[in-house]
Amino acid sequence: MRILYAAPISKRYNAMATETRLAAEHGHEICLVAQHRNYWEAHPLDPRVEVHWLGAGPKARRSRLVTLALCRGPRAVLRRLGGPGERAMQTWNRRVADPIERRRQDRTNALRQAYRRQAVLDLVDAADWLVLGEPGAIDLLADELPGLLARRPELRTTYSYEDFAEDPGA
Amino acid sequence: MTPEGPHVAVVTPWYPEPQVPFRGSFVRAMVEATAPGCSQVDVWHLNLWTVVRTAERLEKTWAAQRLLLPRSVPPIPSAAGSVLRRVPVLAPPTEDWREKSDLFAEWLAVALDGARLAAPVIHAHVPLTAGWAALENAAPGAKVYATEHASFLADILAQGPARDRYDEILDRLEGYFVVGEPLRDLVAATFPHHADKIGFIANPIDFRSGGVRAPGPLRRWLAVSSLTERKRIDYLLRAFAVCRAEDPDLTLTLVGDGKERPALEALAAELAVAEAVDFRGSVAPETIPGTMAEHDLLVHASRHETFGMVVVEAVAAGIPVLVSRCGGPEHALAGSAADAGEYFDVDDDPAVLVKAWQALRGRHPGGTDLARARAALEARYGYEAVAAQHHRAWSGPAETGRETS
Repeated sequence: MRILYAAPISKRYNAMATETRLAAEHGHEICLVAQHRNYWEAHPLDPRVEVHWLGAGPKARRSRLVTLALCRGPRAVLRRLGGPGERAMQTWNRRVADPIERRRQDRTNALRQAYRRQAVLDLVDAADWLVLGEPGAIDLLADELPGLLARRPELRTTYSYEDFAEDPGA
Repeated sequence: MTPEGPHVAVVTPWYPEPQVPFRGSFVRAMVEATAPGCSQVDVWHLNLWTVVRTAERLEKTWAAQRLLLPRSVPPIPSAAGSVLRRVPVLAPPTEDWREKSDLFAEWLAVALDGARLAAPVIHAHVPLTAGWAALENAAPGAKVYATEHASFLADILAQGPARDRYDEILDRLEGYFVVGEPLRDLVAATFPHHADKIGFIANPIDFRSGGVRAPGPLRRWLAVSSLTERKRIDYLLRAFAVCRAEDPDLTLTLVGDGKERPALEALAAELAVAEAVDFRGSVAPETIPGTMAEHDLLVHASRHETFGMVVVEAVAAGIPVLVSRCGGPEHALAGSAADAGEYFDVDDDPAVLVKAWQALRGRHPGGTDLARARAALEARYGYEAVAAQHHRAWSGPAETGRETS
C-alpha cells in the first residue's frame, strides 16, 4: 500500500523513524511529510522512506510604515527620554506595539498552517493509508477530514504504523 | 492463554510505544505475567496527546477526532498473546485532573463507537484517568479493579474536584490496589472511609533469566532513572565524586534521559569526573537486565518513589543495591534489605551516601546474601507470584486492606 505519514510538527522523532522504517520493511511505499529539524542531520531516516520536508513556510506581509510609525519610531524616541520614557515605552509596547506583533504572528501562523496543510493534501489522494502520527496532524487536517473521509471511505487511517494484526498489502 | 481463564481488559495511560519504548513497561510486564492464566487479554492504551490551540480550534479538532477514532484503532498483537489498541486522548494543556479524567473516559467511549468494553473483568492502571475511563465504559456487571502507581498522586488529591472524583472511583471499584506503602498511607489518610479497601499488589519483575553473579569490588556503579530533579542525580554525582577521590577506578553509568541532562553533564565536568561517567540515555527496557549484569552496584538516590521497581530488578539481575529511604523501596525490600545492600537517608549531604557505600563495601560479599534476597523477592514479585495475586483478586471477593499474596 502507499502510506502517507503526516507529522507536520515532527517532535515524535523515535516514532517517526521507527514506524516509517517498519512500514518500508513490510513492503509498503511510505511517504513522510515532516518539518525539517536539526535532529535529522544526525539521525537519518530509512533511505526507503520518501520524505517531503516542510520548510519554514511563508511569513505574513509586514507594513514597513506601520513598523516604523507604531513600533520602532516611538520606541526609539521614548528610549532616549530615559526614566519616564522607559515607563511610557512599556505602556506603549503593551497597548500598541505588542498587539501589532501578535496579530502579525497570528497571520504568519495561519499562513504556515495553510502551507503545511496544502503539502499534506497534495499527497493524500495518492495514498491508500493515512497515518496521523501526532496531534498536530489531526489539528492540521481538522477542517478537511470530514470531507476526505466521506469522499474516500476506503482510505485506511491510523495514528501510528505498527505490527498490526491485519496489515493489508504488507 | 487458558480457555477457562477470565477475559480481561487492561486499561492504561502508559504502555511501551515506538516514541517512548520504556514508558509503562511495568504494565506490559503485568500483562505478560497474567495473560497465560486468562482466556483473552485486551489492552487499551489511552495515550495522552496534548493539543495547544484556541478553544474554537479545539472544537474543530475534537470533531475531526470523533470521526477518525472509531475507524483508526486496529488491533496490535502484544505481550503473551494479548491484543493492544492505542487510543490517543486529545487534551488541551491542563493541570485540572478532573477535566483530564473526563477526557480519558470520553475518548475511550468514542473509540468504542457505542459499544462497551467487552471483558467482564477490567484492570485499570491509574484510577483517576484510566480507572475512570474503565468504569464509565464497562459493560453492565463487569468488575473493575485499579492499581495506583502515580508518584504525583498527592498533587492530584490536592485538587478538590479531582479528590471528589477519586472518592467516587474508590466507591465504584471492585478492588483497589497500590504498589507501595507511601501510596497506601496517602490514600488512607485522604479517604479514611476507604482505608479497608486498599490492597497491595506488586509490579511483576522478571526473575526468569539472570541470577546472582560472582561478587565484584563494587566499582562499576549504575543508576537507572529519568534525569529529573526528583531522582537526585546531581546528588549522586557529588557523592560519586567523593567516593572516586578515594578509589579512582570507580565508574558510573547513567541509564535514562531527561531535561536535566545538559546540566548534569556540566556538573560531572565541574566535579572532574566526566571521564568516569557514562551518560547512556534511554535504552530499550529489555536491555536493562543485561546492563545491570555488567555492573557491580545499583545506586538509587531518588527523593520519593511509590515502589522502586528498578531496585528489585537489580536484585533479580544479581547485583547489590545502595538505595535512599525514599518510600517505595523500604516496602519493596522489606525483610531483605540487609541481604540486598544498604539504605541511606534522603539528605542533601553527599557524605550520607558516601558513608553508606563505605559500609556496604566493608561488608560485601560476606555480610550480604544476594541469593537469599533474590529468592525472597522472587516469591513476592516474580511473574508467577504477581500473576497469582491478580488472578486471586479477579476471581474472588474484593481484597481488602491486606496483601494479596
